[in-house]
Amino acid sequence: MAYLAPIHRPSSVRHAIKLSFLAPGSEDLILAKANRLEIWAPNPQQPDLLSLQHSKTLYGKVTLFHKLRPAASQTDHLFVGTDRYHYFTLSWDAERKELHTEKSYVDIAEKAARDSQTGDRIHIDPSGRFVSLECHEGVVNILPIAHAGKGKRKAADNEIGELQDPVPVRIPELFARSTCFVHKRHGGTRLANPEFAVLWEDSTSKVRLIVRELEFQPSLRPKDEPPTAELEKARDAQGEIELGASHLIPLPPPMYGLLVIGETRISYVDEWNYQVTHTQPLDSATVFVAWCAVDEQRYVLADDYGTLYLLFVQQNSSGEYSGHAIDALGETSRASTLVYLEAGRIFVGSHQGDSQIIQIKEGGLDIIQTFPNIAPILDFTVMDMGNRSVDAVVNEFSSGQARIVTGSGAYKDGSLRSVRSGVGLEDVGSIGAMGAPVTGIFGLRSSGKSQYADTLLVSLVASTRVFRFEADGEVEEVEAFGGLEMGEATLYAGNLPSGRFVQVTSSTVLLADAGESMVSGSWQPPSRSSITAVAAEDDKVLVSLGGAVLVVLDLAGGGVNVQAQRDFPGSEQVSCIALSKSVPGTCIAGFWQDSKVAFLSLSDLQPIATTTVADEADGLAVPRSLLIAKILPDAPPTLFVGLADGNVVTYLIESAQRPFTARKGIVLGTQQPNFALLPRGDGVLQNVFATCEHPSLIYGSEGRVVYSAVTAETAQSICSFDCEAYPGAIAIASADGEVTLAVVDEERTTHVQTLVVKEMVRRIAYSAELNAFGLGTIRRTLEKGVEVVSSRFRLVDEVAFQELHSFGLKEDELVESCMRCQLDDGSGTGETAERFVVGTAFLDDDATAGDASGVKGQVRGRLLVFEVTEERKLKIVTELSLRGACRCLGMCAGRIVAALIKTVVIYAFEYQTPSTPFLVKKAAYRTATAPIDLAVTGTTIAVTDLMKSVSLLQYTPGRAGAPDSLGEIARHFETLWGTAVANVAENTYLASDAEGNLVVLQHDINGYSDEDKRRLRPVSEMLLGEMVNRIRPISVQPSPNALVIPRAFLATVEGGVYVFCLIAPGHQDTLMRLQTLLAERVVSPGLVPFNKWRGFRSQVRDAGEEGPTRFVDGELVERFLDAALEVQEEVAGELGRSVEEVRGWVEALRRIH
Amino acid sequence: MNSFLLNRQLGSVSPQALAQAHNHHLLQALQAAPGVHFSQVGLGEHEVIDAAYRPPVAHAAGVNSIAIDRFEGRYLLSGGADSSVAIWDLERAESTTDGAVLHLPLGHAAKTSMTGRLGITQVSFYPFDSLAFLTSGYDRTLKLFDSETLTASATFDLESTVHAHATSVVAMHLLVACASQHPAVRLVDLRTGSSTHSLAGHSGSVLSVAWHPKDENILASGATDGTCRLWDVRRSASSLGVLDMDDSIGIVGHDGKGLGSRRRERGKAHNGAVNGTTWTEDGQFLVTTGTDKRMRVFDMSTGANTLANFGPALENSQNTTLTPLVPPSMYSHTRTIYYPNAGEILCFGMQSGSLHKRLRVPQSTPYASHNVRNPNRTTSLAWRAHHIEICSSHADGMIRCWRPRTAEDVEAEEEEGFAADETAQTETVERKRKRDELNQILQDLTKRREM
Repeated sequence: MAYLAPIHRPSSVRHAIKLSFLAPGSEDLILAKANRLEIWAPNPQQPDLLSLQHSKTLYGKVTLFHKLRPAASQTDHLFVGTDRYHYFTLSWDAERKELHTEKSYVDIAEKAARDSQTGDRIHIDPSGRFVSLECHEGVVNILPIAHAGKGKRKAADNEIGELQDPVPVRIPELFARSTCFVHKRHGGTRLANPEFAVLWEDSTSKVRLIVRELEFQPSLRPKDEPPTAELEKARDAQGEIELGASHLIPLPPPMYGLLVIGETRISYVDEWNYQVTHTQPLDSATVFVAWCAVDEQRYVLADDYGTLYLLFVQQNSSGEYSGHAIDALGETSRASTLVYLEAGRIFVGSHQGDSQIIQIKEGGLDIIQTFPNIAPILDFTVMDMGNRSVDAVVNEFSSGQARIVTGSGAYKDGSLRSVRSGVGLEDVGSIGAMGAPVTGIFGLRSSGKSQYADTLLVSLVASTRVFRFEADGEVEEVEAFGGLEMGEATLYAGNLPSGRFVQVTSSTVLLADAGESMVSGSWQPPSRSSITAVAAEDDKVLVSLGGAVLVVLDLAGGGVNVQAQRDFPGSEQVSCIALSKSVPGTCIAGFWQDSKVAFLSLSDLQPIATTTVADEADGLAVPRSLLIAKILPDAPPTLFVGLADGNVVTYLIESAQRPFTARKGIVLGTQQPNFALLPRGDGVLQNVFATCEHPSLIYGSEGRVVYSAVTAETAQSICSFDCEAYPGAIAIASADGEVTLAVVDEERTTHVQTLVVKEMVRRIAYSAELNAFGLGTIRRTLEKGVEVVSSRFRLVDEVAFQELHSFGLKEDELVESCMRCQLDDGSGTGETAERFVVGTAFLDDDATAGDASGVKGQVRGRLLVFEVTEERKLKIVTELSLRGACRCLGMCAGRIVAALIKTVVIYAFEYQTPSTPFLVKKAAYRTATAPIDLAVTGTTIAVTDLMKSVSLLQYTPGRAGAPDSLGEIARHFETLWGTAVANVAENTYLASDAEGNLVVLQHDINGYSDEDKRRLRPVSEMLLGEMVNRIRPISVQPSPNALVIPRAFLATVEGGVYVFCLIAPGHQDTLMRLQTLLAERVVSPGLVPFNKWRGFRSQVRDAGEEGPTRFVDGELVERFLDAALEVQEEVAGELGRSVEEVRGWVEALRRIH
Repeated sequence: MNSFLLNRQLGSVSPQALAQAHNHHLLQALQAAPGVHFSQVGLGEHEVIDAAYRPPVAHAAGVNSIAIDRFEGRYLLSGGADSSVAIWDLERAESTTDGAVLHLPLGHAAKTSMTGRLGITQVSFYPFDSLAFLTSGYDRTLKLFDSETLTASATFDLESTVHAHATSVVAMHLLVACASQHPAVRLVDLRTGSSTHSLAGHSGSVLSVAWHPKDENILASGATDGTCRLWDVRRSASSLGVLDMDDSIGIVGHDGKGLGSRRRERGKAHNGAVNGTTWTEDGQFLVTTGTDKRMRVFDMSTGANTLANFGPALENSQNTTLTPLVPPSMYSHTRTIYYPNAGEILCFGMQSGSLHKRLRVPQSTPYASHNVRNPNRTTSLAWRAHHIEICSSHADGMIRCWRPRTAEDVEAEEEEGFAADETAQTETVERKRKRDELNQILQDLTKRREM
């Protein structure tokens, strides 16, 4: 039923580690971005910077990393823990360039135990014997590390350093803020038991430090009995620890002891008596969030406000601790993890802003590399290039083409980001309108010596125009050029290897010298026949005379000589021709009859090989365009046959005798596509630009031919125009005669443009009418140790992203929601005008909110209506005080729908006097807990609740004196902590929850009983693994044989953007079976089963055994193409289809994003 | 809440943290839902439930036991003192014009034993689905019912009054442990239909049984001899020992399954009959109630009494099962425990023993049959899965619902009320009701402060 494909992968970095992973001695940085691992290594050219080496998908969101080094291994192993309470260890298989699972996943989930509130933690004790792993409250898992022992317990050499099975140990400290192993002094040969320090908050909210001794007893009979571990012996630290203490830093020998990092001070705790000493207050209070060690004495700390500090620990003469000092280094993104690289460089991994590499220098820091990150996406809006509005019809061919503007980042790292995935097409210059339809466009070199094209020949219906380009980009139209015929349309123009030009019009073939303006040779077709098609390559020109005669002309000698000629009978007329140097001595011709395509010998034009391109199903398809291009490395050239019905058929040309192998077909549109060859940067391979109603770039990637949409909808003809001023450019002529120069990407990529706002963009509303964005922003600063939060509603121009005006909210008032809409303009004529509506809330203290005896009737939120004046300023039209937050807004039947603290309320915008409008409450409905998001379709309002999933409300405007009513018509009875909801099809809703699940709910309006109609039925479920913050529906015009139809975009907290599609009815079973078959065969790192990863999972229900329900994960299905051929054959065999057919589907699915 | 939501959107707090805070908030706001009624007869022509029209109660002779299915939290099962049983759909109700709802039984069987006097002592759903349920009763039998037809598909005669029964939700076996007047705990195997064996050790009637929530073989039972025994049903000498209320240290060398008490054969859990035992969800603690009007919490990793003192408010005088309710741990961060007292439900902190809240049964004119002894008595409590909601059954024949009602709810009602108030009259009535309710809340709050 449902299909999900990624458009932008999660980019938030929460965990990072430096390892020798890829090769012995290498220094790689491994980043965790939600469920992906990225391996970065120093760039050989610029060793200070890192470059991405590999990116791998895991089945689980990473919650912890650690380094392990078994004795027998040359490289480090990576210990990975996931949010499913799985852990596993990975190493790198350098030969296969794949992750190798060293230890397959171990599940340590405890059903009744609660998540640790302060994040998962892992530590290795200083003696290297144990790993402690904390995922649940009050449980420490002890994993012994195999070490060389004696006697029977001796570990085999290859096992040394391997992890053994976990032993869960309970500790009474439930709310542990930080833990660590303490370095211990020890005398004699026997190693002392490790000591484990826990900084915890007791039931009276007092912060305490306790140090527990780990007593571990290996089992005498390891097969029958597990070993035992205890953390019973404990000692409390003496002295006061501040309430804000958050981190423990163990100091290595010879200093010993540990540092307790707090909000207002840093203290030292000795390792002998655990006495808190040397407390030093900070200059100003702050909240530390991450730390890393530079060396034994220096530590770098990061705080919540993005400041980096250097903590220096002083030693006395005997190396013992004698004091510490802290200095601010400078500002970075708000760190979630810090990794010390080397030579004063630190990686700052960030969730809320761009990750960075910084270089510490004297008295400060420099940012030397930035890793873009669009997480967390708080809100976004969909803008298509053509008609920029949310309701825009998006091109189904590649919905990833749509431009998405996101509000990303938190507080000072806040920004607006424009995300679009696709082949970027950037206009670099315009030549202007030709005033007539352009039939062809050709780039020429005016001299044989020049390596750049400098002349653009534009063929119009009845004339030809020529434009000269200077090196600085100056353009000039020339009246005459090299004796070329200007009074006719040009069918072909090009340079010969000798530097001369050839121009072909319908009546003549001209050969002109570059230097002089004279014609050195020409050829005219016999009278009463005209040239209708041309193909040229090197010195050969092949012309078709009305499809009945083919003539090969040889231009090598300076004149035009007929090399061969053949008349075709009426039953075998030629529809299109092509030449290529990839298959020398041959030409290709397509025929009107029988969908025939043939390779002909250039010497006598007799067929060498012939095939029928069309499927038997539709024998009417006529080949209309042909092109040979070298698309794939290490593969024969590809023949593209464009059919009149919009299909494209490709073949691999193994040789002139065997040119029709590996047939593939794809639908590009409904009309014939035309092809243009574009060189790639490497000079060997080529891309193909297909112009049709969905212009596409065809390129080779990962051993496959990829079709990707390009936003050049109006392009009529195209040619490569690599001129000096615009290297690598292409010239595009549009249907209305506009000629532009543009640079097109060689491959599809995700383009992210950043517009720094430095305030958190919480809400975005886009008004196409006003060409402006309304942004609800929140700013947080630290003033004298006190956090100051302020919020504004800003009007920003859509093009320049310039602030036009802003409206500051009151103290402690934050923007909660905003929307644009059409409201009565008050003229009394019933006309409407564009307005922005903003909902706000005052910062509340949960304590007072929960207290029923609190002050009643207090204003806790407002609803504001703005108009934008002629001067593009915001002007408040009306406001309404609310007793709670206004979480979400919508429009329903011309009324404003507001999701308030517990109710959904309908307000009418009415003018009681002509100048003063009021918001009048018309109807209200109380939801189960608290409404979080709304989706309005007609008069039906879908509301997702804080914890009780989705309910559907029906709004009925009052009639004949009866009041308006708002009542529930259906709901989904399940605990689901909703975050967003959207209507994705008739009576079908997509809802997301806080635990990262996606659920498709259907309202069965034709249900048999009332009871059926009252229940929303879940039809598809899947765990996405990231919390979705916003779902925006899109509408597309599906092509009749599309496998899936894009319906909505989703944006997540982790910075992922996904496209949600519905599977076309005929393909549901096949796609689901394909997913099941692949899930069994695709091996994941850690050998985590696919079902466990994608199965719905919430606190109350876990479908980890069954897997996703009627929900297809595009990422998995696309891996069909990467699978080994045997696997592909097996899967296709199980489906009862051919490998080619399945590959065709998957490639079609790939094009969606 | 607003800042929680913002931080959740930012990904700086985990969704669980918000859930926990919200659940805690709701749990604190739990109070009687006055508009929820359970009745055998529908509204008919009536539009409101008021003094003029009161529908009959759920079970005229008094409700002895209720249970809610743990899968959907949708079906409620009730067993009456007149041996009637009924099954209710909590998601379906008739509603009155003033917003109250009336639940009607999906199915009702007026008499399940030979004589109506032999009431039901406990009802429970089949452990693996809600299509079948079990009852035990004064008719000395354990019965297995079909939830749709309400007909007994199997009857096990245990030859003595069955006070309580328990099934394990984690077990592979289908053993029903029965607490009966006989001093042995009887195990009935539903798979074979035989009474497999008895666990001998108590020296008085067994009043309560509870399976360990994680270990399928561990069972706890309480009896009139004042002991609470632990059993391992696999062993021949199946008693693992007793819990001792005077031991606050416990036995070191435990394995967290409650087996630490195996070495103790002396000691009592209560100075009276033990008529309620319940485990916390993680198996860490066992809560017992006794007719000594005490509730005790034992730390099952050591077998020690945690010495939590719940004060003098507890009432417990009858030798019938009275089981306290421990909400699932995911809803209550600081573990809370609910105790069914006469005319009220007491909410305690499990570890501290401090009384958090007194949930009073709204005073209503008793309209159950007047021959019920002690009509105030709360007979059992049930947690509604996936909701923050408790249902309670009462000797006066009523089933009552307890739902969170926060300050936001009060305001939301006002918001909502706006649309409904067509006449000034209803408005004033509404206002008065609200004022009363607020006063009630205020009273509760001030009471709490005093404590």
